[in-house]
Amino acid sequence: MHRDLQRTLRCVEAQAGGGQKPSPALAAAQGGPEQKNSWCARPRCRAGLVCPHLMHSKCAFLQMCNLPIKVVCRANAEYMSPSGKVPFIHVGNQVVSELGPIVQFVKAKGHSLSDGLDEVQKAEMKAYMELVNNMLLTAELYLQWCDEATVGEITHARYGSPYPWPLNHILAYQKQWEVKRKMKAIGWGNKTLDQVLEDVDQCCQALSQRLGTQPYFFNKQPTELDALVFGHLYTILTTQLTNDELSEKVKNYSNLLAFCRRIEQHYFEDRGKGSLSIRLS
Amino acid sequence: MGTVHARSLEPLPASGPDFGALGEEAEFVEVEPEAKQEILENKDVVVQHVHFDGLGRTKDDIIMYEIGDVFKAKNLIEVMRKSHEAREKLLRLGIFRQVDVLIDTCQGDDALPNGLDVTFEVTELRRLTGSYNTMVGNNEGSMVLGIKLPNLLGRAEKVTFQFSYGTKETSYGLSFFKPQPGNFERNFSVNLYKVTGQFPWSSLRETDRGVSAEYSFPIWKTSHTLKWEGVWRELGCLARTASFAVRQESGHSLKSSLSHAMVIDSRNSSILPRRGALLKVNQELAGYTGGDVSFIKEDFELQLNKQLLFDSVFSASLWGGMLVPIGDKPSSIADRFYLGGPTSVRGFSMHSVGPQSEGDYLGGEAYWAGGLHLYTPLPFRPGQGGFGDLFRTHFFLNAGNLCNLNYGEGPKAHIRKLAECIRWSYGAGIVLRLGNIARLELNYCVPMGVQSGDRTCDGVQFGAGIRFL
Repeated sequence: MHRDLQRTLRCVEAQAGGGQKPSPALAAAQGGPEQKNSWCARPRCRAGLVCPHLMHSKCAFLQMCNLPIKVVCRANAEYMSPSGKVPFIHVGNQVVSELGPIVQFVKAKGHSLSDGLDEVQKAEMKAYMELVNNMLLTAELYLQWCDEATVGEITHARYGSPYPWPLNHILAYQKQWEVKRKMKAIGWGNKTLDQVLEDVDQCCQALSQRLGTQPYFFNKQPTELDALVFGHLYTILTTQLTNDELSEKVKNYSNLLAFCRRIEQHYFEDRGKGSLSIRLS
Repeated sequence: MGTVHARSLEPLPASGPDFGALGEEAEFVEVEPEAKQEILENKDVVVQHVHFDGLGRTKDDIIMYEIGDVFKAKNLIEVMRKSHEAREKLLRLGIFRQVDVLIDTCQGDDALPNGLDVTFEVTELRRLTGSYNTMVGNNEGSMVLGIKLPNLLGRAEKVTFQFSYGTKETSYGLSFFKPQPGNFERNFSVNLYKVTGQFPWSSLRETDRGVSAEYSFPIWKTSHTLKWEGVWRELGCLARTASFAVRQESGHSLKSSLSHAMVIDSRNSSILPRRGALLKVNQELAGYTGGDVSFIKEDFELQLNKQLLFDSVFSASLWGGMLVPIGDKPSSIADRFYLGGPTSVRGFSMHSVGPQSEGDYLGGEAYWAGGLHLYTPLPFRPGQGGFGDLFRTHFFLNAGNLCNLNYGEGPKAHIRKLAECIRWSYGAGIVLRLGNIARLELNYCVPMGVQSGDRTCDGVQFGAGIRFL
């Protein structure tokens, strides 16, 4: 299985930097069995908020595939990506962004985590991944950009931090307007914070029920779903917001917590951060 | 007693600063001979009154400055000359469509026997003028709408708005211009613009939104301009196949820069001059007034023209520039210099010389380019005296180099680097002059000194533009 990790270089941004905006470091990944040069770029930011979840998902996935990666943080990663979404990987002279295409790309190179599943299980996995994307991702975006308290205190400053005045304000407002428009388009425009938290709770409940007492979602082997769920939950648990309700919702489900800790210890053990354990105590 | 009419010329464009270029075609005033001729030249006269007919919103004080000299004329010829000069100055302001001068003897109770009255009959421009053009070029068609408000507040202020709607990109600009009353050469303008450009040679798309304020003033024979500019630049890739080096430059940046430009121009025309020289020196300092881009940029342009036998002109030109980034950040692709193309070193594709990555040209931080040209009339001079005079035959030799310098080394190393791998080309072609602003060229070029990575265009190359090497 993908137990041995041959990380050549590891440079992960602390505090899950992230969220949606930039910071100036970029690490390239050297790589793996086929001499791949893999860059996993993601935006970094000082306060760190959502979007590291995406980085964590992808890093977890690539770790699980036993592919060495190097994480580089760059202020303009969002604009460098061909689809506008971060993170993306740069391998050789190819650039691939978003988890779906990355999974496909890695599969084409011969690595896959879901080979052992049958058709029914694969369909189930896809369904759960869709659930996570629709619920958790949107909830994170909502909390980041539509909750006035968070926006004012954290997101705005963080998003504009790499840019000089007045660009920091202009870009932050532009992004907020964009996200609000997207929320309205998918019907979340009128939701209140409590409703969003309720949705998150339901999603976590579904995941928790599916996980049960198994180590991973599909018994013994981690799959893309594990990587994705880990990424989101880890971010929610470790990012500091104005209110802790979101992470409280997740903490209600002990098996999800244990799941996160297990993956963190197993695949990121030499990070030496241990922030997850600090948070949980 | 007879009257002297100073006839007006055919309608002249009312754009202030460009007016001077047409001076060479101006006629002088005509004098209608009268039946009873007197020797008027040596007769002492006094200009008693200067009248203005047709002033509407124009304020008096700026008019007073322009016609002040007329009062100082001592004899009739001087009156005529000074009136003509005053007329030119009034037209240069860009606020009148037409200016007629009428010189007559003084009538009335306080009239002196040798007193003269000078009357300027003016027609002001309308408050709002518009223009509509369509433009085609660079695989894009666009519709350009222009709105001009001349003489907005009565002292030759001008507000222009231009909007360009294209198949690919949209740009617009608003500008406010105000000259100093009495001193048109000193003027101040503020511009607001959003310009989008596509650069297929670098697989780059750039959107600039900016504001700039500039102040121009003459010192002796030179013209100086001080400018502050703040630009929000957004760079993006033009295609999915853009190289990673260009992809890395994508994103937003803010440039706030102060620049100074000096121009000395003694040529008789800006397109196909016959004599004279041009020197333009421009320096720009970015970063100390805000923004996140920091550099010093210097560039110059020199052109010398000399007329030879048989109506031919020999012209030599030299361009050069250097960009020094300040601090650790490397220079941005939007600030660097580019070389090559029908308006630069001919024989090479547009901006396709120098450092490149996977086919995308990244520009360089230092460059020089030089050209030697011989312009002759068309062989056998078809259409002489008319249409044929717009064409010239053109033999040229162009050379240049573009590279990145390692600023740690000394100037000798820089010069050595700029002198190795020189690209050059020679050829001949035909030049067509378009009005007084632009020219078209059709050349047969032979590029030489081509380095690996450069893209050439040997054979026939077509070029249209305003500024040619």
